[in-house]
Amino acid sequence: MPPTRTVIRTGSLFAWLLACCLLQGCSQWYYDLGRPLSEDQTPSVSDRVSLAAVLEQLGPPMRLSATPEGYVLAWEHWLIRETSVGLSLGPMGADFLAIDWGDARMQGEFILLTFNRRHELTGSAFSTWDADAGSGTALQPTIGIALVDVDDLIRRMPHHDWGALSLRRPPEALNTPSRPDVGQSGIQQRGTPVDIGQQSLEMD
Amino acid sequence: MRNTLIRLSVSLLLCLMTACAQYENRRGVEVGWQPAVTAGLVRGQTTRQEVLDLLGPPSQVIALEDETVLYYLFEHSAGNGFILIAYNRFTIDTRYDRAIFFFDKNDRLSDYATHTDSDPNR
Repeated sequence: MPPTRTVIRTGSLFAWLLACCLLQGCSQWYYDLGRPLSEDQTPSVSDRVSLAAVLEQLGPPMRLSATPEGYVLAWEHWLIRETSVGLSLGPMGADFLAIDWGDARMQGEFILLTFNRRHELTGSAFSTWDADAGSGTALQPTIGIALVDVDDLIRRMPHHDWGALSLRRPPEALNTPSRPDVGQSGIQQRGTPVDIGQQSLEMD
Repeated sequence: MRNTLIRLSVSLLLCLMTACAQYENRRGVEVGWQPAVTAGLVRGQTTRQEVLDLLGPPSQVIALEDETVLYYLFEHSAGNGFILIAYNRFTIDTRYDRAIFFFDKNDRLSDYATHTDSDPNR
């Protein structure tokens, strides 16, 4: 017996509703950290500018550290975009079977200046970033995983952790004097891996 | 049949129900370095204690052999998002109000700079 028009219409409605529920959707996250910087703002050593003049032009630095010769100061601006698209049975109450695609991109400018103890500019550098920060695709029958992770790029400035560093896990607390983001042992850019270098001792 | 359609429509509306969200996050020390407050600071005269009295404890203290730096930071993030089920968009804008003060071996102010987000020159 052929299906009636009502049955077909109801079936179509169910199919459409199911498609809406299955559609986990496209999510985009935009992070804008700081103010834009340009190469024109970067002073040259040959300009023989003073620390006071640089502070007047760029304002207080985002990152600062003492060095044996004086200071190293850094200014940064980051634009980070995180995109994910996927299908999931989550809205139906079933936490399995997900198909996801994720992508992250980062753009930024970074100015690094060094000064001697007489507050004279001794070095300058300007760099820009426009790079793929990661991507992933997954068919996840039972376990869901995050395909794109930008937490290390959007973490808050290290100055907020001053004092609290001594209360961290022993490997991190013991390594505090060598941390490159708390003012005594240099600075590091946002997103620097901790697998190597001064923070490698903090790994579990 | 009519009841079925109504139930389906309601379910569909629930599935397509949209939402919006706002986000705000504040971290750091209280911003007290407006130009009107720091106008009285004089390089070579103002002492570290006077700056501490004026602004309170800093976010960070950096010591060099004969110099000291006080760094004040206030981080403000504001964001908004649209949740349309099929398409979701979130935007977070983070700004940094900050002030830095350099002191020489005599605890006298040698250099300083301040920035607040309301400063039109930055």
